[in-house]
Amino acid sequence: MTSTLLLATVAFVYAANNLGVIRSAYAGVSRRGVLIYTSIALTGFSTGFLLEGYKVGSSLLPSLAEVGGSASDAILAVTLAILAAFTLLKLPASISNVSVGAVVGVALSRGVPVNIGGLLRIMGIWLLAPLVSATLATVIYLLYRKAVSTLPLAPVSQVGRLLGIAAIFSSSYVLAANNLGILVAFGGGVVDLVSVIASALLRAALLSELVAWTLGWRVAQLSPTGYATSLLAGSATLWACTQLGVPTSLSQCAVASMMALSLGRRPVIINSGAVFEVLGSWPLFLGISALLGFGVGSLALRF
Amino acid sequence: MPSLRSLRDLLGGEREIEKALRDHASLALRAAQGIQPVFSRVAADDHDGARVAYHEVDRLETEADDAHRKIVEAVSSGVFFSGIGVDIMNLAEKIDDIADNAKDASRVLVLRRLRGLEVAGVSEMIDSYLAACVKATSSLRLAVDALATGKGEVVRHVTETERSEEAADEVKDGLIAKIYDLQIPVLSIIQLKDFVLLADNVADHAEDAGDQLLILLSKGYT
Repeated sequence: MTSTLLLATVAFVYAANNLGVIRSAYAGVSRRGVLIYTSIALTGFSTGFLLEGYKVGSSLLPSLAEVGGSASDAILAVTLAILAAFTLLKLPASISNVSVGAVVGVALSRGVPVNIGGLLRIMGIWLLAPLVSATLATVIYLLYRKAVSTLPLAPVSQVGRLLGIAAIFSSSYVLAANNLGILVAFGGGVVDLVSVIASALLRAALLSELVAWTLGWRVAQLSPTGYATSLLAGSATLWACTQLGVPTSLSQCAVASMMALSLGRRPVIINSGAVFEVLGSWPLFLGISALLGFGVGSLALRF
Repeated sequence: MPSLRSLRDLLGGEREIEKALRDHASLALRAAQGIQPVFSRVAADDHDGARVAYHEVDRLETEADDAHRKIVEAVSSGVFFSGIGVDIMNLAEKIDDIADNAKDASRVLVLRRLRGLEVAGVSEMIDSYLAACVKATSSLRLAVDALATGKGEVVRHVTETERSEEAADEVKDGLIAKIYDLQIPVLSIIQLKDFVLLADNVADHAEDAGDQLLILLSKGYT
């Protein structure tokens, strides 16, 4: 019961912190537009969790470290504490980075060996994924520009909107499949899974005070199609990571894509602070969560 | 049915807005074309006829206002033309300014009785000046129509709009100088000068609307 409640709370806070990135794709539309796009996002989110939410969890537990029982609660508590702290500070925090760090920290506190090869593989993918996403975004954007160059304005707008819808659906899908799927490692029962998806959906539907919702607009000056392309490329990359069973951050992939597309525009307008906040944050999250995990794990052993 | 409306929004409301813009530009053009009949009635000392012609321009301006309001409502309540909705509204605003100034220019001619003899010395020049203003608006309407064709056509007509506006500007300077030289009452000189400057706004706003179309193209295709 405690674990179920903890899982639901982590899912709720995760949604408050991470799901706002999808809103970047439809910032500035009318209230009715927001409702339509949010419905699409919620549908994508539910579908992603139901169809592919099981793929990432196993790469954390037991693949990364064979901890279980009370250790799972400690990992969840650390993940929750860091996500909640950053959410209160209104800063984006990646659940993928935090949960991996927490697993490593708690495992070390209990003397459980960490699969170094597995950890290096995850970190390697974290380095590679933004590059792949940036390349993919550039290719998609160039193809889009070529395809619409001879069309009248109305069909161009319609194609752009379809691209936006695809980006919203796919990013919601992979966020649930990959990021929310991490929580499947800590509770595979039907009650656990229902509480996880229900809490995340509830928080996402509330729409208010989503931390990362202006993320895209703070990172770079792009057209709505540019943002949609970035999200689409980030989603494709994250989907590939999901197939590999590696928890990865959509924000980091999408921000790298936004940077790549910004470099192709004149004048180049990039908020380097916001970029570093997202792209350079994973070693920080990994370190903080590993340290906190070690501390919480050690304390839990004493009581 | 809100769900059907939502579905329509997703599938495309752009064509409806495009059509509304075409209708709006057409009304603005008809209002601009309505200035010349007002002037020709004045030149013919047919003041009642001038008033009737002015009321026609007034009616077209009111229709243009309605069209403008519908465009703004459609853009602000839907999900179409994402990212360029504000630019569409700015375009509609500029088109509306054309009709507004056509009405104002026509009104100046009927607010005070001008005699045919007073305008006889500049009548021909005013006719060619008004033709240049109407040509600018006509090219703008073709540019708006060309939104349904492709950006190359839009740019071509916008360039024509600019050329017509420049032509109107060239005529305007000589026209105002000639009006000052007329041996007519001072109030008539002021009235004619106001008329020319308000008619000039018609061409100016057509050019501004053309610039707005170029902004739409540069944003809409990126």
